[in-house]
Amino acid sequence: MANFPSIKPTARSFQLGQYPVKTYRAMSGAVVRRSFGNKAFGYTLDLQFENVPEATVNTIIDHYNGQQGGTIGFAIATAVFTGYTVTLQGKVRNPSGIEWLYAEPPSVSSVIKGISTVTVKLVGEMR
Amino acid sequence: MTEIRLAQYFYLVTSTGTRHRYQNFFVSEPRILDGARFDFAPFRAEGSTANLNGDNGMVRVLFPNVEFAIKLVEDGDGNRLSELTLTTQWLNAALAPSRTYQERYVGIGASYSDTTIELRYRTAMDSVGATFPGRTLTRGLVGPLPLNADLVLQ
Repeated sequence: MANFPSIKPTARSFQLGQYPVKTYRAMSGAVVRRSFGNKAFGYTLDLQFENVPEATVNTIIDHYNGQQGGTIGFAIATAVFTGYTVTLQGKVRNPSGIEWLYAEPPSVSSVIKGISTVTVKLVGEMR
Repeated sequence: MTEIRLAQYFYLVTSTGTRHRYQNFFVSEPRILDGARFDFAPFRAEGSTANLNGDNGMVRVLFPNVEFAIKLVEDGDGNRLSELTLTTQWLNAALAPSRTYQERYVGIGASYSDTTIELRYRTAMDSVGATFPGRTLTRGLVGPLPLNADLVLQ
């Protein structure tokens, strides 16, 4: 399991996971909620690396291929969460029992020769 | 609003005597029940998990098709005559057990699909048949013993 490359993103968006709850609604409108577990799942982390050199693009692509796309889970380097305090990093970077996976293939858009913008979408699922 | 939190504990003794213990609520957290350790496994029990009528109810337990679940089947002759104790535990808001119900089953087989292993059980109380105790054929019921396989109940 290779960590996600230690690259600072130019934009970062994080969403907490949800708990496994199913809602049943009676004809009266009353609601019963059944909980199926004690851990959240489905965290999402969207990263953007704007105007990065080709070497950085290659690093991300190599990591994506090394993880067999969204098959093998991995951890994320602290550099990706630059700007967060240690406390917040602990909740975002390593949610309990979660490993990160590629939610979809990274997308690369060219800016000028040798410079590109890469968008990566990750999802945090239970180990 | 009503909230339900159910943890299920799966305790299987295969026909060869191998014991397997799993629970499906506390992710990656082993739990202790009746002094025994239950590891987490993402299984699901379908069917009647509690029955007061003894009417030979069936329950299916679905596991992902992974190595540890394959052992459940292969260790026990295809899940035949294994003994399952399925404990349902109601949890309060602090996830502490508030009520527990236990049911026992006998394995009747299993099937595989690409992603799932289905273990099938019937209630242990009357697994020999729905008309337990089974009827006995006597000469009085059957009449003269037949020369072929056709029995005529009189």
